[in-house]
Amino acid sequence: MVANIFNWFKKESLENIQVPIDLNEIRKRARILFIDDEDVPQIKILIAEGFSIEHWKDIENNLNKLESGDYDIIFLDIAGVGERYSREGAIGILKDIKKCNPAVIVIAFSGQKFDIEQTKFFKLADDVLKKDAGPLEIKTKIEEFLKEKFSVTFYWGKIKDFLKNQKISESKINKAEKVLYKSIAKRDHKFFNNWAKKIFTDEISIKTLTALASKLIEIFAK
Amino acid sequence: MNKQIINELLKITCPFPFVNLNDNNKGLNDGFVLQSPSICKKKFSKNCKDFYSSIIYSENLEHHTCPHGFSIFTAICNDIKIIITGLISFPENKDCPKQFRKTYSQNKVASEKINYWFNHFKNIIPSVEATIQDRTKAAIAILHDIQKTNSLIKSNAEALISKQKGGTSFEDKFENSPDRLKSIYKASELLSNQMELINLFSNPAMITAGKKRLFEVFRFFDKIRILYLSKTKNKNCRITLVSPFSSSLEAYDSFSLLPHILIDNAVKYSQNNESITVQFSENKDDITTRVVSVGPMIEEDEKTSIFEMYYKGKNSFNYSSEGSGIGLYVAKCIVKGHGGEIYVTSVSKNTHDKDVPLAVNTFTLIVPKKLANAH
Repeated sequence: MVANIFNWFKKESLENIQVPIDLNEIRKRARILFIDDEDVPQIKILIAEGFSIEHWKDIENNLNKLESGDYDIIFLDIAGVGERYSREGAIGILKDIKKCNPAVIVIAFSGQKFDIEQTKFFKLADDVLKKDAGPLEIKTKIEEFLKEKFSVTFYWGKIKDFLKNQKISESKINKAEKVLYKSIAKRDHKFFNNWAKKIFTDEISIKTLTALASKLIEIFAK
Repeated sequence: MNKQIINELLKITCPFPFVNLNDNNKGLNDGFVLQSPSICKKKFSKNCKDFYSSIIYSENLEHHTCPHGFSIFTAICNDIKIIITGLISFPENKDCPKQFRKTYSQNKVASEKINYWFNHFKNIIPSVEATIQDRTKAAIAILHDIQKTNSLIKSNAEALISKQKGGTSFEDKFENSPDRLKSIYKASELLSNQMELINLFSNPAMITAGKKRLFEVFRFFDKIRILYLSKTKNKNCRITLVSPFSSSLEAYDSFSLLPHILIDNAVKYSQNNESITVQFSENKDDITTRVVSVGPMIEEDEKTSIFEMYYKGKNSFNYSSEGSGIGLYVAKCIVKGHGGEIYVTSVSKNTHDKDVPLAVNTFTLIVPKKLANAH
């Protein structure tokens, strides 16, 4: 009896869901963005390797695309980026991305590492890459992050962190896991979205949570 | 601010005799107005240094009397012990023997003048620091352009290597590439590492930036060994990694610079025809790496100093003009950032080259396999 209950709980644990990783498939699906006011010679070679990469010289009117989680990995330069968008420049962009979509991986890609005043930018980013990193080094980092990202534990970890930051109780987090499990099993967002709407009243929290859950369900849908 | 710069500043601005406890050759210095009493110059010894070390230093300038009866003023400023010595100050000093008062009458100084100088000295430090930082920043900004150019070189070299026939991995294709292409790629990688060294030197906080990941220590040393093949060929020396070693440790990207610094240091100072050996071992919690080479002997009292900023060992300085005194300092900072330790041993070979005593120098690196949260 005890063993059955344990199995029943175990069944609905997201940690038990395995997603088979096909790196070629992930490469095709992943969307990567470089935001750098200068040319990035490495991009051409990475595209030839099969990565889907865009390059923006600045933010312009594309902020929505950043916040809505259109991109899986963003390489963000600090110099000459985001000055018109935020008083804090690239740091402001980085903070906004992380706030609206914590699942987006932001890699600081800059030649300003020597500058003590920019340390905060590098520390806020998920990772740091030197400006003269070769395509091979960039490719290795992208693949490492994609393998990590295209998994249940990654998104569930982000959802859990978000809920904990919002001071949601442990029992409600356990409930969220079960509801999310159901959403994944039925390939339907509505179970988790309804739960999020019951718990939160503010638009931003609901938007953040449902975006994370959608991304997770998307992994199984394709 | 760096200790060496403060000591230099002291030399330029101090009108009174002063002591630099970190200076192994010449601890006692004349001021630019007053000289040290000749008796101090004659009798300055380890006992005097021990006396200075026994004093408790505070941020305010405080008066003491040395065993010979001279006035000493001490304070701590930016972690540097300031020791003004060889004076007969008034009104405090009543213990100075009459004979000294007469012989060294020019060293009688009102303590308010010493305090006035000290306050002035403290005030100029931040402005000197700001000037140095501005100039360094301007100089380093130029390096940003070099980095951009290097990314172009590296990208093109990598693209050409990737097009080579034979093998599927980059490493295989690299092996099958023409020598000149290999050299361009290696030079670009070395330049990239040197730029990274400057970055970390200028902003040590970057040592712990980014994602922690697992590093195969052997693989990183082997990569640097390959990059240094042409340099070692010129010196007719060889880098040998003793036995394959598969263990990994958790580290920040900055860790990958350690093999570069230690191998570069060994190649720079090793003798022609001598081999450089890298040994690996591990226990439950940490990995030990030893880089062993024959080079200028590191004196006992230099074994800590060589890890300080801009410091170059006396024998290394006489042996080779290469080296900036930055590499080992950054290495120490990286190791510290990973909760490990680095030290050197130097065992005399009882031989000389260019009049410089030679020794077997071993740089030992002990780094925990798992990073503590605090790091």
